[in-house]
Amino acid sequence: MPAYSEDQILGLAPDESSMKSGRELATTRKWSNTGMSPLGLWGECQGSGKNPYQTCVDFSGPAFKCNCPSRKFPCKHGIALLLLFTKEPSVFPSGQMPEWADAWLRGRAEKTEKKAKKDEDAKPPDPVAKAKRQADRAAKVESGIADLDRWLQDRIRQGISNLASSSHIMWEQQAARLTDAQAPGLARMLRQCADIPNSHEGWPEHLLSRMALLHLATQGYSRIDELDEDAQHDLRSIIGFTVNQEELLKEDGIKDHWQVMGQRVEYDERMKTQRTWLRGVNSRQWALILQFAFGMAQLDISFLPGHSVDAELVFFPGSLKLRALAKNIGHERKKMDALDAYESADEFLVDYAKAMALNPWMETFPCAIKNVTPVSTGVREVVLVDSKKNVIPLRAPMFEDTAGHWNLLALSGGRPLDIFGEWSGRSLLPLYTMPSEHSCTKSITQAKDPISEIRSRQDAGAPRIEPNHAEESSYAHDGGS
Amino acid sequence: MSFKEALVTTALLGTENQGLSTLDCPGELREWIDSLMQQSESIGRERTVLHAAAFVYSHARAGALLAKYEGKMPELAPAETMPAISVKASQHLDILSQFHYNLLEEWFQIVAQQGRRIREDRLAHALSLGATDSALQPLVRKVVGERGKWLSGYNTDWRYVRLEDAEVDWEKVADQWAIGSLDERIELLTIGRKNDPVRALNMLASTWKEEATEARVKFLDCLDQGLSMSDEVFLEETALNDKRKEVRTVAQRLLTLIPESRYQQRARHRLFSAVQITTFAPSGLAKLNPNHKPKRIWEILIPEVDKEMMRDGIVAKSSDSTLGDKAFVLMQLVSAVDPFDFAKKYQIDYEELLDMAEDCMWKDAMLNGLEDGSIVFSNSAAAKAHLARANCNDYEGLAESLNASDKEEVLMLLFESNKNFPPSTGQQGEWIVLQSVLNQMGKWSVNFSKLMMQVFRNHLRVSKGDVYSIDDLIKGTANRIDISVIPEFQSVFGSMGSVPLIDKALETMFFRQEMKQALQHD
Repeated sequence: MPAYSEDQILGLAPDESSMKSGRELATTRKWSNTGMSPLGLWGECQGSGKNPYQTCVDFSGPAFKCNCPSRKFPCKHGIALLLLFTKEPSVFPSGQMPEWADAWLRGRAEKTEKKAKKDEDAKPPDPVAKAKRQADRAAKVESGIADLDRWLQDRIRQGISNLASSSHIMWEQQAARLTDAQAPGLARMLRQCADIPNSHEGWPEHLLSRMALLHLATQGYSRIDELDEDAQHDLRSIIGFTVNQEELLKEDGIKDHWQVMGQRVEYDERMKTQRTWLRGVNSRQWALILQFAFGMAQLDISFLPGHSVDAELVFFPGSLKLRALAKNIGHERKKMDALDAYESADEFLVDYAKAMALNPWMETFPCAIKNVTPVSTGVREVVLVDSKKNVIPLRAPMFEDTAGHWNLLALSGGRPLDIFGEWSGRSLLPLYTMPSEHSCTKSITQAKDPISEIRSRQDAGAPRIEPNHAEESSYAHDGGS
Repeated sequence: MSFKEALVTTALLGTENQGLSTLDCPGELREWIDSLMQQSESIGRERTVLHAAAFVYSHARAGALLAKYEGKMPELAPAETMPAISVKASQHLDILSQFHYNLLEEWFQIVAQQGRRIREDRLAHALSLGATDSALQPLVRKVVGERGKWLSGYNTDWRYVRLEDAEVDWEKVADQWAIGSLDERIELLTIGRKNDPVRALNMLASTWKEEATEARVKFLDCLDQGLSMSDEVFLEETALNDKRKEVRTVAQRLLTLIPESRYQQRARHRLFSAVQITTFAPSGLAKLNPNHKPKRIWEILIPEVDKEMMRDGIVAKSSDSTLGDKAFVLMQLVSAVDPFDFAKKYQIDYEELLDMAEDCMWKDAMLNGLEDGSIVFSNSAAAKAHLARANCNDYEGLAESLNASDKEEVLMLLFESNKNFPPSTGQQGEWIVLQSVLNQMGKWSVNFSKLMMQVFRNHLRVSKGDVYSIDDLIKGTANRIDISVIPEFQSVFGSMGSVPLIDKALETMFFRQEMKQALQHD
């Protein structure tokens, strides 16, 4: 049976009200005829009507079914049933499924089987048509990139000071042209630039650095055939070419026991993006699982932070091999007892620099460091100090909600912690910590260095930026990206 | 100008206005930039700037080093002496602060009663709750443990935690007092008053002449802590003579609370000179009747407001539309003395004093004055007597003056004397008493909870099952009922089927039950 944490389940609720109601209904008083099978859970919840609502949860999603009239999905009854299961599994005896649960749970299982068979039997796509589609898109992208190159040059010719008074429409029009040219990744990067003018004191430098990255993409694409295969994939990913995930899942992946190092969800209007960072216990491979959900659709909760699970991961092509898809995820979860982490930020930064040299568009990089002590440096500021006295700035909190930073200080009590987070090049967003005495004794420097291995495969002729450690940045800023 | 600055300047002004200078290009980039500049003619000036920016910023980002920390590392938090609450109980804190804010106080109370502490991952949240809600502060202080006290030292919003235990280093005080911000000085004075009230007062007196009005008011407000006759001279001779009314008002409030103060003596003298009660000895057969109530009459002579009275805060012109100027003065005279002292002076019971006030020609002034006095002197028994009559002006103020057992007693008296409780709209006073006192109540005792169930039974019988006219009462019950009485609540309303208001109340009650259970387990 999958193990879910209360937070994970509540994360599935479509809004706060469902979350609250789900919590309140997760009590044995409200439920009758509960049960479970390897496929899922079921139960009947007494509402204000005469007949109780019949609710089912399919473990494979989890997916929910309820005959209540709510338009919310999942409804409060689904949330409550799953919460009750995690709180009091003993009230869910294994037994014969009632007809209504059987019809739905078995129906879903059969549909999944049929789909898998259909996928197996599906005819391979017509290679000629596929090649034509690819050529058409390449031509569109090429044209869009040439247009972006001209646009960037015009901005630099006229001066970016003019952008301080220009409206968002100007940015949006150019971004829309990139979207039409089927380069949505570049369109997204351009839209991010639109918010920079006048946003803070160092905005010109910040904007120039972002425009430079767009320029790097346009120049790289103009000679993409000269790049090695991994760099080509990086560039194509930045531009917005997607990888067929169904095809990718057919490839063999890395089977390992994966530690769930951290997880967070980003919200962009109605779109939710869940970022889950994994670390292979044996392979020591990092992996980033991205999951998307729109509107009331739920995010996957297979990965529980602070726990480890057996799974096979298939990696997207690229120089860093970070983004992955999960298949064959085991049900058993073990509590993590150690973080596989760098001894100091210096060691981490060496690998970060190597990664940057491979992929200069990289926005975040996984960072686990041992023995960092949270230190309050001002009235409302907390930073981390590692064993070599390096100051690791923390990412500025959203909406001045500094609770997360203070929590770090509270958890440490002045003692060092092992920490995992996302490094942006300037600051760390902490996602998981544990007291340092539980730390893994393995040194990352003694282990196989995945980045060195990747570098050894590189084409010597590909453009590279050699990192230089002479430049010191203050932890408050580095205007760059 | 560094090369980065030159790049930004060119980009800002535009290549049509400003060329790119490579004069200050650092050594390690020099070769590459020189090579780029040689190609500038062929690739164009704009691309040259963008090429250079891409190179320089990627180089900087990849090669950035972190600053070195040169400050002091934090001291280690002392070891905890109390056990922590369970993980589940911790999670309840989040639910409470989002969805059941009015149950937070009960949650903190149970944690404190059990001698437990909040887990580390919720300390910042708990401390912030106390920072925004001063009513929670005494409870938060008890349950944050050593780690919480340690943590509070890093955030000024949480300084309320340390005020309780903080000790003043009097040697450093003079400097801190002279140069600190207003908030820091208020904190210093508060801690000082807890440690050594006289020394802290002397510190305030030493700089009093230089202080602004706002600071004077705030500093005087700190003197509630450790207030005694030792403060009387300063308050009477300095603060009460201040030019600003705001300052004098605080001084008057403080002097009122010092029974032996000259201010209080003047107040008594004024009241007992202006208002006298004459008792006539029984005559004839009345002498033989032990239950005979002696005849008493008021003798009231309201004085003109003189300079000394004005200095003591007595206002000659009425600001109350229901009272004339004379009555207003009388009301102020009465409210300046503890109402029980007034009764004691004439050796009569307080209830009898209230009865007499009802018959007095200055009835409104007299009753309002006694009521205000009950609030000013936080006289719970007097406040109870006023509320029992359900004919008051400031119900909320009186309810606030009651202690916990008196609150329940006031309501029990109301229920006993009103068969159809909760009262109908015709019984306006009783209804307001009920609401005001309930709003001020914490958790109910078992007995009071059971009594309320009886009240609900009566109401449902009389109103033929109307629950919506008492919705506030039911909501309040959910938050306050002793949880052992929940089955009785279910039995009272059980026959009504599913009613959202009742279901909601039950959900809250069961949540309280779960919250309590979670706090009882490790």
